[in-house]
Amino acid sequence: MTEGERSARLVREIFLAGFMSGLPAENVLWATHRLGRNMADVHLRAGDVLYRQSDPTAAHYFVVYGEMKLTAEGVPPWTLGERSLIGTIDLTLERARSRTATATRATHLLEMPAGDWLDMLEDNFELMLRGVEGIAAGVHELRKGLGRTTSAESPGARPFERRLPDGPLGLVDRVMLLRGVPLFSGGEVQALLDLAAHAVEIEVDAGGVITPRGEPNDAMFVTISGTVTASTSTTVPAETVGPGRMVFGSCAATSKEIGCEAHATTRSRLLRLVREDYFDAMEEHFGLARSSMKALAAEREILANEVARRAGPTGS
Amino acid sequence: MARWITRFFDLRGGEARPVIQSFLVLFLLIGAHTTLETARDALFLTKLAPKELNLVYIALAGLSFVAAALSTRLALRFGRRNALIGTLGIAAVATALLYGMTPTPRVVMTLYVFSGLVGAVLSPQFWLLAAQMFTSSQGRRLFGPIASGGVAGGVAGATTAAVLVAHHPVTSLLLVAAFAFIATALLLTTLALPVDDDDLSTRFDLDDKAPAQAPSLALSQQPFVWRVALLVALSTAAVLTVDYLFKSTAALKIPPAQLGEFFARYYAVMNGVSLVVQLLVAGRVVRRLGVAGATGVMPTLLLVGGAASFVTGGALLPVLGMRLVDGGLRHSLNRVATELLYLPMPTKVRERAKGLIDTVLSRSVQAVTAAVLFGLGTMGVLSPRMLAGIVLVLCVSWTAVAAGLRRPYLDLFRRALSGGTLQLGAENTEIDVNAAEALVEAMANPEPTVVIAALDVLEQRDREKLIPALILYHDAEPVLFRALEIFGASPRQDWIPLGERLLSHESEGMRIAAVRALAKHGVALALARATKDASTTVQAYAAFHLALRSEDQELSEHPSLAPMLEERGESGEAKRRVLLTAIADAADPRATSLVLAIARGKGFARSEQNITLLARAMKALHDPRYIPFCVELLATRPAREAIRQALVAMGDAALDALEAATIAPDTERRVRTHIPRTIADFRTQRACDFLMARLDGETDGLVRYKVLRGLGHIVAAADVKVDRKKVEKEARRNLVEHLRVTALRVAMEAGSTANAGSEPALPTEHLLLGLLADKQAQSLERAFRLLKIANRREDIHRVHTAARSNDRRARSNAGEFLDTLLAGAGRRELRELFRLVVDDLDPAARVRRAAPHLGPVPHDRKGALAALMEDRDPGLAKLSRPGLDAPMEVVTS
Repeated sequence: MTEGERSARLVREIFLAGFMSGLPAENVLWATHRLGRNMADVHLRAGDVLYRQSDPTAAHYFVVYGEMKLTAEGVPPWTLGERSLIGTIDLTLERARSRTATATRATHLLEMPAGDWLDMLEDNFELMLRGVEGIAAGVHELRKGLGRTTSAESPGARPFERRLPDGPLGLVDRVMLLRGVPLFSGGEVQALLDLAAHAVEIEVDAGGVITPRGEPNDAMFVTISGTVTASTSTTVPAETVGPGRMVFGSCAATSKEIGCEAHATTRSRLLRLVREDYFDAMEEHFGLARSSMKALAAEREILANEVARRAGPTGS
Repeated sequence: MARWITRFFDLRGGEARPVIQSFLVLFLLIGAHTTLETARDALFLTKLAPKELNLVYIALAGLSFVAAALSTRLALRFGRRNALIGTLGIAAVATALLYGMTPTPRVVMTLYVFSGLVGAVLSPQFWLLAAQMFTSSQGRRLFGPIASGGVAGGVAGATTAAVLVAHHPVTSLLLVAAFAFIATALLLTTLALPVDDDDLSTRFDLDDKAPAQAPSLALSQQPFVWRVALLVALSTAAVLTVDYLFKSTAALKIPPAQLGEFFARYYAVMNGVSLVVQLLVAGRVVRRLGVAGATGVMPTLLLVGGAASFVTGGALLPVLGMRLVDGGLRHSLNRVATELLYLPMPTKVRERAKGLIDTVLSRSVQAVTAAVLFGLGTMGVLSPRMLAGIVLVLCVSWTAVAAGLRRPYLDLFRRALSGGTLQLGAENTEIDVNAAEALVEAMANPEPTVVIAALDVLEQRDREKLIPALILYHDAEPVLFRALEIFGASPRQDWIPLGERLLSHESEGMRIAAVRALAKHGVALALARATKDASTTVQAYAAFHLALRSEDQELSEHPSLAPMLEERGESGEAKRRVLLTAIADAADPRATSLVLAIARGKGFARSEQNITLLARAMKALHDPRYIPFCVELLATRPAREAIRQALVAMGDAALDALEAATIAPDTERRVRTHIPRTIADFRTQRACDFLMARLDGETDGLVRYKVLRGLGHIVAAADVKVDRKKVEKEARRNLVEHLRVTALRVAMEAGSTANAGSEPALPTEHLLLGLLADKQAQSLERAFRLLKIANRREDIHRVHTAARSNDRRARSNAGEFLDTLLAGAGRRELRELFRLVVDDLDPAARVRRAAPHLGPVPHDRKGALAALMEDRDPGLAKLSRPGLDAPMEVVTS
C-alpha cells in the first residue's frame, strides 16, 4: 500500500465511521475497515454524470462532499448532499438505475461495489438489523411528515385475494398470509414456516386495543379478518387496515417506540408475531432480511417522491 | 449417433453447434495453411538455395512483431471474430495474387515470408476466438475435440496437396489454399458467439472502466504471463532439440535407403497417436490433473526419455519414445493445456500476451535454438549424448515451471473472482505523514461525528497520543465524552488539568464522564468534587470509590451503597447504572455480590443499556458465580455481544459451562443456538476442538449451522488448527445433501402443478417446492463455509457468490478455482462434487451425473412425495404429510 493509498483509505474510514455514528462501536470498527478496503474515490465536476437511467446497478455511492441530482422522466428530481447514499434503492431492489445521477457542483463520492455491500450485510447481522430498523424508523418519519399512517401504494402491497378459512388458520394458511406481506414476501419458505409456527392467532373484539400507545412495542400484527384502526401519531389521521395487511405496514419492522396505537374497528382476527422471533428468523435467513430491506426501500422511494413533489420543482 | 457423440464428448445444451463450427473452422484453416506450405516448400527448393532460408527466418522474426501488433489492433478495433475473418480475407487475396504472378525467386521469397506470417497469426487468432467463445470449464471438455480439427485439417491438407501435384502444377495449390481461406472466412460468419462476447471492444471498455479496481493490464506486471512465456519458450526449445536428436539418431541408426519409409510410417503413427490423445485422452487428463497439472505431463515424459537417452548415449528406443511423446502430445494434450492457461487472463492481457508469446517469442526461440544447435554442430561437439543432455536440462526446467504454475494460476482466478482486487497477507495500515494530515483535518471538522470518527480511527491504531489534549475544549458533548473515554483508558497525563475543568460542566453526564476518566488516573480531587456534586447520580459514582477505601468485605452491605439497591424509580435506576459503571472502572472482588444484587433486584429492567453495563461490570470482575446468569442472558438479543465478552473474560470455567449447556438436553433452544458463537469468541484451540466435535455430534440442524458459523469465526480470528479431513468430510456430506435435495426437487417438479404456468392449485406443494429450493441453497452455502474453514486464506465467499452468479464466466472461474484448489488424490471426491454442483448443467442432468454419489433417487412426483414424507429433515417431512391445514390454537382477548 503506497502512502497516498494509505491516507486515502484513512480518509474513507473516517468518513464511514462518521456516517455510521450511532451504531455499536465494534460494528463500526469492523464495517469501516471492511468497506474502506474495497471502496474507490470518485471525483466529479459540475455537470458530470455518475450514471444514467437504465444502466446496470453495480455499486452505490456515499457523498463525501458536493451535491448530486437524480432525475428521471415523470418523477420529481431528488437532490442529495453530503452524507447521503446514492443508488442504494436501486441496489436494494436489484434493478437497473431508475434515475440519472448528475453532479450539480464539484462532488467527491465513495464507490462501494454492490457485491461487497451485500456481503458485508450478510456477514454482520447486527449491522443488517440496525439497517432494517433504521430504514423503518426513517420511513415512519417520512410518513409522519406526509400525514400518513401506512403506504397503500407500496409495490409489494398487493391486494390480498386468498380466501382464508373462517375458523382458525392452519400452518400453510399462515405462511400464505405472511407471503402476502411485503416485509416477508421474498423470505425463504423455511423462514416463513418458522415465523408462522411461532406466531399466535388472536381474536380481538371491536374496540379492543391491539397496540397501546407509549408501551413497549414488541410484536407485529397481520390482519386475518375484520378491520383495524392504526395511527402512528396523534397528529396524523388514523387509517384502517383490512385482511392480509400488516398493521403499521413496513414500519412494524422497527422495535423502536414510535408512538403507534392500534385497535380493532370490528371484531378481528390477527396473527401476532413476536418481533424477536422475526429478528431471529432474519438472522438465520438472509433472504428474509433482504425481503424486509426491499419492502422498506420500495416504500421509502414512494414517500421520497411524494416529499419531492410537494417541495416543488426546485426539489428538496 | 449424435446422442453417442454428445455423450462421449460431454457436449451440453447449446454447445454442439459452436463446437462443430469451431472444429470445421480449424480444420479448414489448418488444411488451407498446410496446402499453402506444401506449395511454398516445393517452390522454394526449386527456385532458391537452402542457405537463403537464413534470410527468410530473420525477416520472419522481425515481421512477426509487426504482425502480432496488427492482429491485436485489428481485434481491438473490429472484434475478435471480424479480425480473423479479415485476416483470412487478406490471406486469400494475397495468395490469389501470388498465384497470378510468375514464381521468380523474389516472388517465392515473398511467398515464404507471407505464408510464415499467416501461419503465425491465424492459429493464435483462432484460439483467442475460442477463448472468447468458451469458458475455462467448457475449454477443459471441448478444446480437445476442437483441436483435433487441426490435426485432421493437417492430414487433409497434405493429402490434397499430394493428390493435386500429381496432376497439376504446384502453383495450383495456391489457388486451392486461397479458396479454402475464403471458405473458412464464410464459415466464420455463421459462427454462433455468446451474446456477451460478440463485441470485444466493449469488453475492453468494461475492463478499463474502474482503474482503481481493475487489475494492471501491463504485461510486465503479470507474473502469470511471464511463467506462460517461459513455459512456451522452454517447450519450443525442447521439442526442437528432440526433433534434431530424433533426426540425427535416425540418420545414424537407420540405413539411408529405409529412411523415407521409416519417417513415413513413424509420422503416420505419431499423427494417429495425436488424434487418439486429442479425442480420448486430453480432456480426461485435464479433468483429472487440472489445467496446471496437465501442462506438466509432456515435459515429465520427455524428461524420462531424455534421462534414458542421456544414460544410453542416444540409443534409438528412448529417442523414438521421446519423439512419439512429442508428436503425440504436443498438438493435443499440451496444446489444449496451454490454451486453457490463457482463458482466465483478463481479455486485454490475453490478447496482448498470446500474440507476443505464440507469434514472436516462439519464433525467436526457434531461431535461437536452431542457431545454438547449428553452432554446436559446427564446432563438432553435438554428440547424441550432448543433445540428450540439452533435452534433459530443458525438460527439467520446463517441468519445474509447469509445477510452479498452480499457485499463480490460482491467483489469476482469485483476481478474476474478486473483480480485480487481490487481498493477500496482512495490510500495512500504518499512519504516515499524509494520513496524519488527513486525521488532523478531520479533528478540526465542524461536524462532531467526523471528529469522533477520527478519534476512533486513532484509537483503533493505538495512536491515542496523537489526539491533542485541547480536544477537551471542543463544543460538542459527544466529542468530549469520547475523548474522556479514550484519555481515561490511556496512560497519558497531559489532559488531566483540562479534564478537571469538566468536573464543573453543566451536564450531569459530562461530570460523571470526567470523574470516571480522572478516577482511573487516581486524581483524588475528582472524587472529592463528586461527593459534593449537586447530582445524587454523580455522588453515587464517588460513593462507590469511597466505599472501596473502607474495610468492608462485602460492598453490597455498605451503608452508602445498600440504599441504592432498593431505591425505586428512574433516580434509583440511574444510580444503579452509575454503580455498575464505577465497578467496571475499578473492579474489586468485594463488589461481586453487589453486582449480583443489582442484577437480581426487582427494579432492574433488562434493557440493552442496563444489560450492557451489567455485562461490563461482570467482565471486569470475571467471577464464576456470574456464569449461569450470563449463559441465561444469551437468549436475549440486547447486549448479547457484551454478555459474550463477559463470559470470555471468565475463562475456562465459563467455557466448561458453555460446553455443558450445549450438550445438556434441558438447555433452552434459544440459548443453545447462541452458544457456538460465544464459544468461538474464546479463540482458543480448546474452543475450536469443541466446535469441531459438535460438527458431527450436534443433531439440531440450526445449532449445527451455528457451530459451523462459530468455527468460521474462530478460524478467521485466531491461529487455531482444524482437522481438515473432518471439515472436508462434512463439506462432502453437505454437497451430497445438496444433490439429494436437487434430485427430489427435479422429481417433484416433473409432475407439479406449479409447472403449469398458472398459480398452483395446491399451496402446500408450492411451499414444499420453495422449501426444497431453500434447502438446496442452504446445503450449498454450508459446503462453501466448510471449505472456507479448511482454506482460511482463500476468499471462498466470493467463489460461492461467483458460483451462483448469472455470469457464465464467473461461474466457470469459480469451478476452475475450486478444481485447482482441491487438486490432489485425497480430495478427489470433494473436487468432483464441487464440480458437479458448480458446472453449467440443467438440474436433471446434474442429478443423473450425481447418481454414483446419491444411490437410488425418486424419478417422479409420487416417488418424491413418498421419500419426502420419510425425510430426515423434519421441515420437509412435515410439509409433505397431509394435515398441515389443521387449525392451530387461537387466543381470544
